[in-house]
Amino acid sequence: MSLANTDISWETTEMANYGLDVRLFRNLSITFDYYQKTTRGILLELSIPKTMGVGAPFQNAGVVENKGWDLQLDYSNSHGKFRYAATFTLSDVRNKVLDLKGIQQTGTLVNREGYAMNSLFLLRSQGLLSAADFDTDGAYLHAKPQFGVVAPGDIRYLDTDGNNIVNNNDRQVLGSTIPRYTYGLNLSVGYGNFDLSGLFQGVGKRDGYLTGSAILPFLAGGTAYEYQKDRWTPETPNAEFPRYAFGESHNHQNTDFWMRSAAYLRIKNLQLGYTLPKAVIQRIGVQGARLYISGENLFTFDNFWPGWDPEISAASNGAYYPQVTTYNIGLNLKF
Amino acid sequence: MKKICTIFLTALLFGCSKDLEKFPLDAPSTDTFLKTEAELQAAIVGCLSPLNLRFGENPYVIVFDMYSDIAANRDVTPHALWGTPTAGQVNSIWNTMYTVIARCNFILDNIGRVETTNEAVINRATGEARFLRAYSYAVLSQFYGDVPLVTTTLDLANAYVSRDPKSAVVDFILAELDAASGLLPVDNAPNTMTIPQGAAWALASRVALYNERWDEAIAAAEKVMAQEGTQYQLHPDYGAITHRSGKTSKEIIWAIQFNYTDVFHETPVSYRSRMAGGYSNRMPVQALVDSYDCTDGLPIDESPLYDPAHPFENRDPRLAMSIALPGSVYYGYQFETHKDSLACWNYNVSPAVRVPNLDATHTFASFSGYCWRKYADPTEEHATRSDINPIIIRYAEVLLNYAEAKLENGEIDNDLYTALNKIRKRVDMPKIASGQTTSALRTLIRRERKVELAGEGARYFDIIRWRIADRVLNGPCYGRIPRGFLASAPAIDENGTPDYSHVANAGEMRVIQTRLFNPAANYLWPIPDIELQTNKNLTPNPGY
Repeated sequence: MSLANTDISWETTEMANYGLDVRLFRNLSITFDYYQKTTRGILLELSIPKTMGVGAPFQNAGVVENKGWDLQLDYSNSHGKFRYAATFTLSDVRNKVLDLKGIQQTGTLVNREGYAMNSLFLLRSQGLLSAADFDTDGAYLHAKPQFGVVAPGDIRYLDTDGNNIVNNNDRQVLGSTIPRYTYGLNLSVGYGNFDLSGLFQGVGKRDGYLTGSAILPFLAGGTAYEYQKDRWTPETPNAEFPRYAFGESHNHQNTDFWMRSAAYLRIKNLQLGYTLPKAVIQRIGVQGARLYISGENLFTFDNFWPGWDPEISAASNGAYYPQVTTYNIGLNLKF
Repeated sequence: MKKICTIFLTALLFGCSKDLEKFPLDAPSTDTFLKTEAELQAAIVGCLSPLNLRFGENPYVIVFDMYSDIAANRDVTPHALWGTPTAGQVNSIWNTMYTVIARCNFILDNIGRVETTNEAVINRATGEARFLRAYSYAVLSQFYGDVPLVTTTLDLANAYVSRDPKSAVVDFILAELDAASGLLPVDNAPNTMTIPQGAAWALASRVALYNERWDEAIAAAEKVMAQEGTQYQLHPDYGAITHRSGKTSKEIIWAIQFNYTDVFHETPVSYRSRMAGGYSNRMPVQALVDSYDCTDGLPIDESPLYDPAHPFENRDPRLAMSIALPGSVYYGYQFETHKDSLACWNYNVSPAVRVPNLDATHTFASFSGYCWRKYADPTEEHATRSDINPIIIRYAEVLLNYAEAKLENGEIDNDLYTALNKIRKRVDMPKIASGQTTSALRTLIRRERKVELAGEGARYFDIIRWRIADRVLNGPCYGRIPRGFLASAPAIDENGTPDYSHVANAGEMRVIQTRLFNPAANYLWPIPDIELQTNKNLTPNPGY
């Protein structure tokens, strides 16, 4: 049973859009758009006390703002047999939850007032602990974490609420999973019968977060990835991963220790073509013929976890079918 | 595109009508429900259905044991399940029980709307609603301590309730169970949705015992015991109680109903060995195995019958009936978890053949080296479709509640010994001789309760109310020694808990997980974080 809400209504959106379109020297055009959009009365199942024992009704409650801009530059020119053209796009959006009627989510990905939707809600970490963080009796010297055994080589969590206990109440919004500065560059050059085109594409700023076995070696008795072998030991205090601990949950918390930049640049597509000269094609009886070789997803440059696609959805263990690299060789015939 | 500047309001996007449907169309709404007898029946099923709650597709009531010292969940420590205000099970239990309570309150508030002249129907439904509400409060108060006592339907204006003292909640539970017992049917009908009157008394005996209200526990248990032979009796085959053939046993007083077609659970796949097609991710641990006495009634550290080289021989028969032991046959395979046992017998074919032994070699074979036999019935075809009803309370527990309440009340008499020895006689364990001291009898009762009810969801509450959880739920949780047995019996303490510190090869035992129990906080669960945020009138439990 759900509570009936008799005051329900449509949601509303206000949008302002400013655009600019310029063409310079016949070869260059610039398009710029700025928009600001506020959506009010978003239907949300706001938390009601669970002691009521009924499902929460939908209420017109949420207010979310999106501010963004899109820029596009096009340039094309030719010098004799040499032709070239480029299209560059860059856009950005800033998303902000303005009002959720005070209901703050507490998962890994959260909607919280004042932050972007699907923000990362994490414990703030400060490197790995060493023997110096414990006294001679082995007692921990900082605010005590409530996640089980803590030992040198574990992640140090900060007591952000200052109550001298580190627990889930110390989590803060520490990352945003909404891509900022998405860009693309489409280049094409040609010389005589040869043509070469490419699409470069990427994201300038985004926080990536993998969970589960992607970051936790030997989770639940499983195996470990090669990059997880760089673990803390007293001899390797600057390792990337905490000490190996089995069945202990301290290092399994959601923390910015595991957050990585998911910004990337990807060569999405490259194609090299050769159009056969007229003299040749007339002899074989076709109107046009072009040979080409192309590749998709050829290279990706990023600082994300090794082997993982930076475009993977945040707060997942990454267990998806990955983007594949493909190579094609082809012949286009026109009759 | 020219320079443009537009501001517009999008009021209606498509297909708008002036009047929105304001009542949910896919489910009954609080504003329209409960007019007919059929709707009343549906409403009672609606009160029961949240109790089909499963954690990892295992019924919640048997998962409770994985929070305790006798069992483990491979994937997660007990503390991670309930030790933080945002833990999933902390939320689920709270939400589920308050959902049942709200549905019961709704029925009790609106039962006058039902258009019927059949008073029996009204009485029974009233009894069921009051019983289920009391049960939900029993679970809530066991976990969270003081909880809001909500006894009528709330609307948003008065929903911001505060916590009531646990003693007031317990008063309410016991009074309600007493009232419900007069409205519920006398006849015990296990394997149906029926809640018999004995269930109200049985639950009252438990709640009173848990809250050290000995007189009330004794009185309630005696009412059930007065129906022994007519409505309730110990099932002759102990191992069958939690299997299919025991579903209709008169030992079962109240169980949550599952069926094969739509409301089933997946306990077998969690429990079974790798050879039997399971994941063995929920399992009994070494500390439970070592808690069963020898057949002479002595704990393994005292009994001359205990042989460390053959640790499973001469033991309380309930050990082999509750737990798959290395060397036994389990689902038609030789169950062997010694890591060098690379092949095992498959008796499911005739003649039997040797096959590779996954229970020794598989990474995710049972971490403890043991599997549950309770709730893992080899006659069930599908590991992911079990219709065995998880038992909330059965007659043996009533007898144990009775014995413990009598003891703690200073009434060590023949009735106490009789109740206890009935349970032991069923499995051919020797009688406990009369004339025990209070502390000796307390130890015997605690050991009896630990093994009799193992795997059925009672243990966590016992170690909480006995205040021994900080001793038994801290530090490493052990599985068997992967390539051998313990060199000698561990010392068994006055609560029946093994201590391995003097066993020569204790360090070879597999550590399944390292556990943490903070006595300053963990004797109560935290109030769910989202609930504290939503309702500022609630206070957190100390230490969270």
